Order: sequence, then structure tokens, then C-alpha cells
Amino acid sequence: MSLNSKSFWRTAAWMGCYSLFLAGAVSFVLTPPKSAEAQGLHPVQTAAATQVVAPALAEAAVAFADGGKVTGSVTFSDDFKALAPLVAKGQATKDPAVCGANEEIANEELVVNPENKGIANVFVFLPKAPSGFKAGKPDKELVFDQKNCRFLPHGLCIQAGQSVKVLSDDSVPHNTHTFPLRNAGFNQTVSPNDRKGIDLKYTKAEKLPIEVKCDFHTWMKAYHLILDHPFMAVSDANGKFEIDGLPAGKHEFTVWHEKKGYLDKKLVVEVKAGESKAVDLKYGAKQFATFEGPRPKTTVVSLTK
Amino acid sequence: MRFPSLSLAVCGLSLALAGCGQPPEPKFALNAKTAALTPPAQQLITEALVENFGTPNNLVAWQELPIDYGKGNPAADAEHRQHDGWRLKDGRDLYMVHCLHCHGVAGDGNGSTARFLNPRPRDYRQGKFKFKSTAGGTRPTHDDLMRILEEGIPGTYMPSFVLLGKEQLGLIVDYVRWLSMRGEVEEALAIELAQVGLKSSDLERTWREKKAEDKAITLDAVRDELLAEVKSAWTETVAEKAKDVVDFWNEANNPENLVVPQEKRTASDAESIARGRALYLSKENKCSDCHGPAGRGDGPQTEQFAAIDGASPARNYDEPGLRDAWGNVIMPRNLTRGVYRFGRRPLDLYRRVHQGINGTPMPGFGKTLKDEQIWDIVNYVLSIPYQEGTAPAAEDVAGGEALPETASR
Amino acid sequence: MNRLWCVFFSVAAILAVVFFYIGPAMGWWFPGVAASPLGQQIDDLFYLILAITGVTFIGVHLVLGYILWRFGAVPGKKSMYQHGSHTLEVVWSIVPAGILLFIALYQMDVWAAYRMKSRFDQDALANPLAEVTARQFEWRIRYPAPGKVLQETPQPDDLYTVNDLHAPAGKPVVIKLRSEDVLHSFFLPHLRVKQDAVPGLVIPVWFHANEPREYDLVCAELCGWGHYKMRGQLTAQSQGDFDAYLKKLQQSQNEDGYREAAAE
Repeated sequence: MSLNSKSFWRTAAWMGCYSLFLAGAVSFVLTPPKSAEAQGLHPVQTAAATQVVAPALAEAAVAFADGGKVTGSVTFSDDFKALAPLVAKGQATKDPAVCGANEEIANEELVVNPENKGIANVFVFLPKAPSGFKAGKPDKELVFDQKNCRFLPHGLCIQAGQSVKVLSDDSVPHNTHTFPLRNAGFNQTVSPNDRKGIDLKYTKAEKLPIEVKCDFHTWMKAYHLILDHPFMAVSDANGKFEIDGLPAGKHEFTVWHEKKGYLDKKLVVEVKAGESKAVDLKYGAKQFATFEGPRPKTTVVSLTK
Repeated sequence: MRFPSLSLAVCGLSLALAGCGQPPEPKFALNAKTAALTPPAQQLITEALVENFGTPNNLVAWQELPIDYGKGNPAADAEHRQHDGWRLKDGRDLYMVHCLHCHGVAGDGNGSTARFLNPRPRDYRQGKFKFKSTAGGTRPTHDDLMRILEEGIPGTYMPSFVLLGKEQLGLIVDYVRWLSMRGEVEEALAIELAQVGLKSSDLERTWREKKAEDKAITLDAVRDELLAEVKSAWTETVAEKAKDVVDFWNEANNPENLVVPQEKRTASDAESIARGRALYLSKENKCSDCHGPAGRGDGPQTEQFAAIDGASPARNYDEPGLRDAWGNVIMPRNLTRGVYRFGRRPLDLYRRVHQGINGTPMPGFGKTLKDEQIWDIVNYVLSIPYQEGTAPAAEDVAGGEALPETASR
Repeated sequence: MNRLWCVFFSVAAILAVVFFYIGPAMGWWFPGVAASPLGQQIDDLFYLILAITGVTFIGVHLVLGYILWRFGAVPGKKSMYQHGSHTLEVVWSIVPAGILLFIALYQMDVWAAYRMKSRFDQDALANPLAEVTARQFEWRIRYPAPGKVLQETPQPDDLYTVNDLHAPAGKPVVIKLRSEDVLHSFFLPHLRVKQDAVPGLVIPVWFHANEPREYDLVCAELCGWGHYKMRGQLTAQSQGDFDAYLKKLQQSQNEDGYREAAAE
């Protein structure tokens, strides 16, 4: 049979059809309906309940009588040029009549006092409660205010269970939107000039300070550190901080700042009972170099990846 | 070509058989945060997850979690119902049939059809659910999730599955809760390891810094040191994160967290609607800032640039607009359309105003407004689609000009 | 070889007869007996056409088989040349034309009853049951408040539900069919009702469910990736049950959640 003859092509066409049919039949036979196992209906294994280690409740007193004190200062060791303000005077994109109307809103990402080079808003804290410590109910009520469309204070230390009142001294509404990891999120509006305030509650300790924002005024930001003990402090405008009531012994503090993250993961300080220990921390521009790698760090999960 | 028909037959056969074979095994996708970690850290997390949650074909019913996995009934008809954990398996099967193609295997909102949809399907892995009856940051109740499945979400691609019947929907809800808990544990572990410094980019930077002092130090050494620290307390860490998740979900069932009005709804008469409108436009509440003076979702806030969460140095997104917790642009609801995503009952709208919407910039006004005021706003919002020309007069809008009269529909 | 083909064609005819006979009896094609009067009429039409075409089909195949058998080529024998028969051509044009004309005229009434608005039940048309909006991939239903007439534009007291259309059984009802996005088709297979939902149009569709039970509602026009699962349900109920259902829907839609004991 030559390639040109009609009968060849006719036969070829028929054989093609038959073979496709055959192929289909064979493949059907070769892949029978999968058994229950193969369909992924494996029996469900039940994992035994893992033992959750409950924190040991100490019988010791609430605070350490005769506790030691750590005082300190955090200073910037290089020359510092103030960062450009978030909102120049009168240039707010939102509510310009109130926000930044009389004075600019500074960028609080890194605040260095021009006189004594003190760095503000540095958190110094014990990552875990010292052994033998039992947390009582903190009775002091904290105030988290906002004025000129800025949160005051920029860094706040809160003990879990402590009551925080969110106030407003602005004649525009704000909303306080927190982003905790272990606590339930909080997103409530605060009325203008609300001096009575609304309650903000945190029940669990967080590992690191969490962000607090206002959705109406997108430049507003603050940080809350929530721990289950009171051994924490945030440096003030002069870079000074103080932690009281510590038990005697060596303690490992974490030093954290929003621009850098961990400035020091293990700052060892030895405290003697009844005494005050001074700690001077110096950080330079290099320590505050930003995290930028190829991309800035974000905690948002992008679905376009 | 001596045997052309034979070769034709062989070609045909091979073509037909090419499509046969086992499909690839489904896997739970990794969270982006986990994927950003250095591989040994990723492995730690994956191992912990496989141990406690299993893989899609081999589920593990972790008893810690507040889910009814189903007890085996030796007298049941279906063979697999005779074993413990049958509810989770049935839930998984139903999820794979009905939900997988949008919501993805791991509930990450990245199924095969997801990229054609706007808004995107929900990513359950943060445990953030927008529409629920519980307070602000709490998880939804079982009933809330049932309601979403029964009613669908109007205005989105989430359809109603009411025809599946309550029993099957209950199975799906439990599987979704399970997926969410799994995602939350993964996310918490990934954040924990990132905070320790095990992100690939952070690790490199730390290594470069350490190299300045000790030239001989290797990246592996730096990483292993951090890993050793983590591994020594790993079981406790995993248990702690799991407990957090369990607490979150149990809180959802706490009756204190259920948002229930304390006052009966005021009658929806002209006065109530007028009061509601005044509240809507008032300087204290500024609903119009996002939702627009006429309720079209075009308020001035939609032109602001939102800050990227957790970015350092602080940066804004390149495009203006409000953002939800998943990083997507989110438009304030256009109230003139009469489409309400989680129910059009007055109770549902009350809840939205009182507690806001979790995962979005919509705040709660429950602490600043009294119940009567919220009902006035609800009455006003429900009336917006039916009113021609709801544009306010110039003096109503703080600092604004009067908008031209336009039809509201 | 030719004999083989002739057997093949005849077997096809025999098989066809067998299937035509068994099919309806086994419920292979129809979802049971039609559940509406119009549906019954449509079924009757179907059987009529089936009979006519069936007879034609079987007859043609038997003739074909006979001719192949009787007049197959024989080696060495020269085939007879024939001009064709004019009469035959005329006959087998006019007879089928006549049959088709008959079918066309015979079914006109059923078509009119289904499609012509003037033939709708005027009460039902004046008081539509609901507006059914097809959207990807569900059926959104809007009832007027009990006692009110359905308006073209949504009213504040309209009742909304999804996928589960309730209707009183035993009487004709009209729904207004719309589409929110693309073409869909409102198909009630048991009632033999099918109408495309065209975006931009509001199309009145009537149906009459015989019995109070649940019927399938499926989408019959490819509308996207979810077309295959765009299912709904028609729940036909007695008038009393239907009224009670609407009342319950109205109550739950106006739910304000306030309880004396503050527990839901």
C-alpha cells in the first residue's frame, strides 16, 4: 500500500479512530475508581492533648519588699538630625483645622533630645516575670490621651489586667485601633474632647510592644507594651527610665525600640536588695540603621504573592 | 512506513494515556510569614503543624481544640463513621467539594478561582472574621459561621449553601474553624520565630553585623545559635500558642461577648431618620468621612494614604484608600445600594455600628454612642436607598460644600 | 461486507425502538411525571413528536436495510442506471412538510399558554409572587411584604431570601425574572419551565406547581465557573403554610435583637 492511495488513508483513519477508542477504554480500565484509602479518606488520628504547662503560681508576696531599683538613661552617641515632621504645621491632609494647626506633628520614630541626646520611647523590660513573683491586680489607672492628633504617650507600659482609659483632647473624633497578637483587638471611636474616656483592656502579656493606630489620621501611631508583671519602663523625653521593686540578683532585660526592634536582647544587670543600680545605654546611628533589605518589613500577608 | 496503522495506534494510545496517573497530593500552603523564615525554622513549624494538624489527606484531630470531631459509632452505616474523628473528615470532604476552589486548601483565600474575584475570598488563617455577632476582636460563634453559609454574602461571590442542610453545614463550619485554628497557630509560631530573628533577611543582617567583629563567623553558626535557643523551649512555645488560640475561640462563646442591644429599636419614623442623619454627618462621628455625605462610600478618607502595618521605617501604601487587615484596598460600603453584607436585619446593622467590622478600618461606636442613637443611625442607614437626593445641605457637612442633588439609586 | 453494513444499520433501528420504548418507562429522560398542568401538555407534545419521528426513523432504517441487502453490489454485475423519480421526490418533500406544519400548528396553543402575557393568569400577573434575580451563582429572591403588591423598585419592607423560593402550590404564580450580571436561565425541570434571565430585562415567568413539595431549580445557561452548582429550590406549599412562611420571614428580617433577658 502506498502513501498516495485512497484506501491507505481510509484504513488509516479507521485505525486511528479505533485506536483512540481502544486507548480510552484501556485507560479507563487501568484507572479504576480509587479505593477509600487512595481517595485520601485516611482515618483521622486523634492527637493526645498536649500538656499545657501552666505557669507556676508562686506563694511569694505580690511585690518584693526591699526591692532593688534600676535607673538608667539611653543616649544617642552620634550626631542626630531631627527627622522630618509627619505633618508640617497647617499641612495635615485630614482635619487640618485641628491636627497640626498650631504646631507641627513630629515624627516620633526616633526622638533624640537635642540637649542631652537622650532617646525617648525606648522600652526596657524583663521578658518574663522573675521567679517567685506573683502578679497582683494593678490598681493604678493608666491614661492614654491624644492631642493635636498625636497619641500621648507614644510608648505606654501596661500590666495585663490594668485598666487603661483612652481619652481625647481634640475636637475631632479619633479611633483607637490596636493590633495585639495574644489579646483581642480593639477598634473603637473616641468622641471629641472626651475626658471621661473609654476602657481599653488587655488580659494577656504580649511578647513585644504592639502598634496602636488611628484609622482617621493615618500618621498617628503609638506602642503599648503589655506584660504580666510591672518590671518595665519606657524612656522619657530625656532618655531616662526607672524600674523599681526588682528582686535581688542578675536580671536579663530586653531593650526595644520601634525603629530598630531589639537594641539589646540580653542586657544583664545585677541588682542588690534595697539599692539602686544605674545603667547607661548608648546607641549610635549604626544601631538604628533600618531593617530595609531588598524590601521594607511588613507584617501584612499579601495575597498577590 | 511499513506499519502506518500500528504507529497511528501507538500514538493514539499514548496520547490518551498521557492524562492518566495520580494527581499530586494536596498540601497546606505555607503562610507568607513562615515562608519568609530561614528553612530550618520553617521546618520546625511545619513539623509542629504536621504533628498536631496533619496533612489534608491525613488529618489529625488535636484534642486541645474546641471542636467536636465526632465520636465513632460502631453501629453506623458508613464505614468511616464508625471511627472517631469522622466529623472532621466529612467536613474536609465537603470543604474540598464546595469551598476549596476559592478558599484554598489551607483556607488561605488563594484557591484557583480566587484571583478572578473581587473582593477576594476570606483568608481564615489569622482568625479574623468580619461578620459576626460577637464583640470587636473576638472570634465568631458557630451560629455566625452557619449564618454566613446559609445566607451567603450579598455583594460578594460567596454564595448561599442553604440547600446542603444544617447537618452538612455544621460539618463545614467545624472544618473551617479547624483550618482557622491551624492557621492561627502557624501564624503565631511564625511571628514568634521572626521576633527571635530567624527571618532570612534579618538573619543575614545579623550575620553581617556579627562579621564586623568576628570575621570567621558563618551564617549557619548564627542561625544555629538562635535555633538552639528556640528548640530548647519549642514544645512549650507550641503549647502556649495553641492555648492562646483555644482561649480566643472559647471567648467567642462567652455570653458577655455577644453584642445585644440594650434598648428596643426606635420606630423608623421621619424624626428618627432625621436624627440618624444628623448623627451620621456630625463632627463627632464623621461617618461621612468614609461613607461619604450621600452614603456612596466616597468620603474623603478614601483619598488618604494608609500606613503599612509594621513597616519600618514607617511608610504608606503607594495607592490611596483604606486597607483591610489582609492588605487589600477596601472601599467603605456604598449605603445607597441596599446591599448589606452580613444581613439586613436591624440587629445586624446595630452590631456593625456598635462593634465595627473586625479586620477593617470600620470602628465601633458602642462606647461613644447610646443605644437610642445607634438605632437612629440604623434607621437612617436603612432609609438611604429609598430616598431620592440624600445629599445634605451645606451647613450639615462640617466644612464642606453642598453637593449637587442626585438620585440615590 | 455490504451485508455487514446493512445489518449494522438495521441493528441501530432495532436498538432505537428498544430504547424509545424503555426510556420513558425507566425514567431515563424525564424527571418523572410533569408536576404542573402545562408541563403535562409539554410532555404530551414531546411524546407526539417522539411517535412521529420514531415511526419515520424506524421506517427509513428498515427501508435502508432492505435496499442494502437486496441491491448490494455483486462483483461482475453492472449496476442499473436510473434517472430518479420526480414523483418520489415530490412525495417525500410534501409529506414531511405537511407533518412539520401539523406539528407547528398543533403546538401553538401550548406555546401561547406558556409565553403570551395575555394568556397568563391575570391575577397572578397583577400580583407577582416575587422578583427572582439570578446572579453568579445563586438566586436572590425578593418578596413584597404580606398584603402588598410587588413593586419594580425595592421597597423598604420587601423581604429577601436566597436560593429557596417558596410559592403556594396548586395555583399559577408569576415571578419577575432578572439578572444581576450575565445570562442565566431559570429552569424548573419538574415543572418543565425554562426561561433565560437576560441582564437588563425583567421577564415575567409563570408556573403552577401541582403538589406541595420541593422542586429543583437549576441554572440552564452557562454563566461562569460556578454554573454547575447554581442550584436553588422551589418549595411549593399550601397557601396557609406559605403565608406563615412569609410572616416568619418578615419577623426575622425586622429582628432587632432586643430581649428582656438580653440573651439570644
